[in-house]
Amino acid sequence: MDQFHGHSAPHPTAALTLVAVACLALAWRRRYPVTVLAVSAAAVAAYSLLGYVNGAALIAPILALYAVATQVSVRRAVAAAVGTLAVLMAATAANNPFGQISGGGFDVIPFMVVAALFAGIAVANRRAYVASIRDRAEQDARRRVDEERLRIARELHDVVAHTMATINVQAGVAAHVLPTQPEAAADALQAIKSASKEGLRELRARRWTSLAASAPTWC
Amino acid sequence: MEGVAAAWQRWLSSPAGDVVRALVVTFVLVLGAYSEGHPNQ
Repeated sequence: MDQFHGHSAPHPTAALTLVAVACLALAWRRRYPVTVLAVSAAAVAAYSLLGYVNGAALIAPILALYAVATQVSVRRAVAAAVGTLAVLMAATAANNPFGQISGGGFDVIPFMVVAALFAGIAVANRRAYVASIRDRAEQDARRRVDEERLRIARELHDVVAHTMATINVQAGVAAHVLPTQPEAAADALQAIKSASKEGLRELRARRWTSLAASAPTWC
Repeated sequence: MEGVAAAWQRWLSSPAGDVVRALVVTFVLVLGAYSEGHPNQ
């Protein structure tokens, strides 16, 4: 590796260390995608400038570019792709071990960059689509809960209002006829008792059926 | 089966998974770069 196609190159350990740095930086590609791309591309560019064949090493900055494209806007992803393309092609052409500007990694860099860019953008779009569907489902669930609570409130209001109206009327009757018709007053009081008992029974029954109906089977 | 898929997804998105994948990529690409520099071996 010290001599390849007439190019002199430093000790391979130093060059392979550059490749290792370019690859190990990928461990942080989620937290610092742009920084990782810069480090990886710089390391592979240095490796290429030393005159080594860079076919395998090119994969590291390409993976970093893919990570960038999945996490930033399309405009920034395209800018990162153009920068990566320029750096890698310039470094490869400057000391191409195949003896000319083109050839080897130089020829495949554009295809790798475009593939990483498009794949990253496609994955980012899919993630955004899935996130939007999830948000919509959560909004629908919250809306159904609100509607169920409103329905329960309306039912409770109807039951209480009907019972209170009945009690009010019967109490008025009882108060009116008590001095002259105690039996009719007793009937009115009995009606009040029945109405209140029925109201309580309905409240209990509707409370339980409402709770059962609002069980989150759709959540 | 869903539990296995969920565990796999958690592993893929975990920092430990990132480190392991970076190490695997490092091993493969360094080996590839070494092989490119020594085409006759």
